[in-house]
This record gives sequence, structure tokens and C-alpha cells, in this order.
Amino acid sequence: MRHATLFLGLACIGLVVILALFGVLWTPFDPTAISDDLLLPPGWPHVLGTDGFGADVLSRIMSGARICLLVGVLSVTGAAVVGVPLGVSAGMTRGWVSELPLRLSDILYGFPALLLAILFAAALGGSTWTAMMAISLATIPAFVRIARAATLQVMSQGYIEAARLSGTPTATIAARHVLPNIAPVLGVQASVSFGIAILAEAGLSYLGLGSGPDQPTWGRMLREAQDYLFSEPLLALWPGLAIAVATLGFNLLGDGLRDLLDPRLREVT
Amino acid sequence: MSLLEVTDLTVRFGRSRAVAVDGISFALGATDRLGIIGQSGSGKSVTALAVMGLLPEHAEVTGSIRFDGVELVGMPERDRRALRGDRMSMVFQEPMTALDPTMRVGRQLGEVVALHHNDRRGSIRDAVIEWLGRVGIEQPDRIAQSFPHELSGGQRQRALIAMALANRPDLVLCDEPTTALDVIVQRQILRLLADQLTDRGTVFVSHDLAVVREVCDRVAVMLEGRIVEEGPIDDLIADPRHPYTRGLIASARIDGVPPGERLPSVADYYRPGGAS
Repeated sequence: MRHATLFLGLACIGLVVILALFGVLWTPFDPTAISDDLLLPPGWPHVLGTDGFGADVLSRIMSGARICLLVGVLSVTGAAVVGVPLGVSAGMTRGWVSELPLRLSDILYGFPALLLAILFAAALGGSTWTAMMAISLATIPAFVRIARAATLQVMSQGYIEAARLSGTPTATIAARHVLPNIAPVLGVQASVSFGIAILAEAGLSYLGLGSGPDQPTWGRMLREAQDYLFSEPLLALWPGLAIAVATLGFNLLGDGLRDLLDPRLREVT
Repeated sequence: MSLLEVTDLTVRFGRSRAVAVDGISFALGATDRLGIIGQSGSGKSVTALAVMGLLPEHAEVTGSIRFDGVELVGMPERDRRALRGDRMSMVFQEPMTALDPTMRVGRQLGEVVALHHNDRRGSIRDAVIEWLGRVGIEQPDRIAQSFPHELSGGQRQRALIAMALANRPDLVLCDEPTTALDVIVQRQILRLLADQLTDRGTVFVSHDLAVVREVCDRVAVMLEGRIVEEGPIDDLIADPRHPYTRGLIASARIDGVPPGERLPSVADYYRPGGAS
């Protein structure tokens, strides 16, 4: 099948989105309620069983999907909003003005997202917002670089010269001609960054640097399941599977989009 | 007074200050058509870009370019931008890439009109359809709604010509506007240009003497950044002075060569830096 990766990716993402949206309206049990039914195996009424505090695992997975998507959407959007204009202006101008954001993003590139998050958590206290800001900040350089590279390519096209020949101001050229033409590349980058952001969020909350205990996230569930890894291995499987499906989904979508938009591949098919 | 008066124009590039255009001078009346002919690297395109003010930043321009009495060399970019697309415009070589693939043709043309005239939306739409029709595009309202990849090469070049003419510029620069087109479409486009450019000044840059002859009444021959010969095109063809011009004309007259004979080339008449 031609667009198998794309559809598989969309299916994975769709599953997570449905879980998250459904979780907003209704979960089988209160995801944060503690009960005496500790460590129940999957069955009825607890479809995926209960954890070490007696909370319903399915409800917590659904609730976690929401946070995972929220962090992904906001951190990637934030990174794109900052990174794309910097990258485009770096690609359209010459001299130190265009070099500066590039060098800054190189420096930022050197910091692992985790280190940034620990820094943020130390300064601001661990929370969903701290994790989101750290992930967003760590994602900016990717957007600066990809936007600049794509802009440089677009700038050599005839229609940019034609626009300049017509006396179009530089800002208008950026908005009307450059942005629409680099949008596909940015879309692929956003999808890939989304997958990384989900993984990073899970990692941070696994380390206790993300959301507080009142918010069930997949990373936190994984850490709690660690204590029962040998007696109740299924408990670690569910959040692990959720993280894997979500990350895989966005990566497949990114790959699929890239194949779809690659003009060389498009001409062949 | 001339519409365009270029005096001692010199363009140098980069740190090595390589000379691309070397002290050329020419003048163009309000409805004159001047052809500039020369091979690749002779400086003809650089001359056109210098007049438009679109040379890269590392280019150094000296001398004088007066447009309608106003000096363009050293004019602030903002003022030059106001001239571009409005009072002077350019049709250039690559119809395949000169249209933005993400924008409908009509909108692209409309933006050029809107850029220099704050008209109402409706009248811009009318102007777009009118100009597409005027450059010989059939069903202009359908083409206005099309994306560039849905157009043929000839249609694209027509759309670009419409873009260059839409604001009724006083001066139009054509940089090899037909080079990327096949011979039949090339003829149609040249005829269109000859019709549309009657009431304005034109500089027509090409490497093809036959193409220039279709459109221009006067021609300047450029070689290594200098104008080596200039005059009415028929006189120049009848009596070329410079050996390079003689070579150009001889290589264009291949139908007079008997079969089996070697075809003449410019190199038979002129060698760079050497004796002719």
C-alpha cells in the first residue's frame, strides 16, 4: 500500500486522541481515587486492573493521554512560534543579524532537554508547565534550523525574484511566498518533534520532574509500576504501550508526510 | 529627454572586485526598444539587474543610471522598491519557477496590482482578468483560478508578461524572455511583446540576434562587460564593424552555407584576448 506508514501513524494518533477526548468526558473510575482493591488483575469492572494504590489503570491511562497530548501540542506550538520566524529571517538576510539566532540555537542544542528540565524544576518546582517549557525550549533549535534550510532553498526560486522585481516588501515576501512554501517541511518537523516531546514528557514525569501526584501521567504510572515489576508486570505494560503507540504514531506520521511531500517520490508515483 | 540614461556604469562583485560590467553607456527614449546582445557572462543580465536595483549586496555599482531624470545609483531601497513593478518592471527567463506554486495565478497577479494601487478588491479582480486576456490567454477567468502547475510553459510566460505590464510601467526590461520556450511558442510570445511594448521603453536582453531583431529597432553588442558596437539593428547586420559582431551574424546565417561545408562560428572571427 502506498501510504501505509501515513495511515498507520494516523491510526495510532487517532487511538490516543480518542482516549484523551473520551477521558475528558468520562472515565470508568476516578483516576486519582484510592481504594482497597489493590493490584487487581485485568477483569471486570477494572478492565486493565488496579495499581498499587487501588486506582483504576484504564482511567489513569485515559487521563494520562490528555496530559501527554496537551504537553505535546503546547510545547511544539511554542517552539514553532519562536523558532520558525527566527529561522526564516536567518534564511532571508545576511550578516550577523541572521547568524545570531543560529548560534544561539546551536548553544541551546548542546543542552539535553533533561538537563534543562532539571534546571527548570530546581528553579520553578516540578510541574506540567515546567516540563512543557523545558521541552519547548529544547525543541526550538530544530525549528530554527529546518526553517532556515528550507527558506534558503525557497529564496533561490524564481518566484522570490519575481516578487522582488514587483517591489514586494521583504516582510510580505516572507509571509506570502516563503511560509506557504516551507509549510510542508515544517509540518513534518512538527510531527517528529511531537513524538520526541511525548517521550520527553514521559521521561520527565518518570523522574518526578513533570506533573504533580494529582495528575496521572504515563511516565509517573511507569515509575509506580516499577515496584511491582516482578509480581505484576502487566502494570508497567499498559503505560509503556501507551507511550510507545503515541510516539510511534507521530514518528510514522512524520515519515509518511515526508514521503508524501517529497517531490522526487511524488513524480515517480 | 531620455527615459533611461546609463552613463559609465560599472559593476564589480565580491572581495576580488571582479568586473562584470565595465563602464557602459547607453540612452533610451520613452518609446525606444534597445536590444542588448551578448554571450553568457558578457554582463547583459547584470546590466538589467543594476537598472532594476536587484543586484546582490556584495555588488558595487558606480557610474550613473538616470530614470526619467532621477538618479537611481545610491537611491534608498525603499524608494527604488516603489519604482519596481510600478514604473519599471522585468520579464525574465524562467517561466517555470517564476510563479509561486502555492498561489493561484490570478491572486499573484492581483498582488502586484494591489501593491502599487490601493484599489478596491473588485477592480483589482477586473484588472487581473483584463490583463490575462490581453496577453492572449484564453478563458482568463479560469486561468486566474488555476495554480501554476496547471499551466503550460507558454501560458506561464504570458501570465508573467501580464504581471510585468499590469501596472503600465514606463520601462520594461526583458531578460531572455523566450529562451526556455519552444520555437513556436517563442514566436507567439515575441509577437505579443512587440504588440504590447509599443508605447513604452524596452530593454531586451538576449543571446539570440534573430530574437532581438523581432522586437527591437536598435541593438548594442556586449562583450566582456563592454558595449563593443551599437546602432540600428538593420545597419548593424548589413555592416558589422566589430569582429565579434561579424561572427555573431555569420553564425546566424547558416542557411547560406552549402551542405557538407563547415558551419561558421564566432570563434572564426573573434577570439577573446587574441588577434581576430
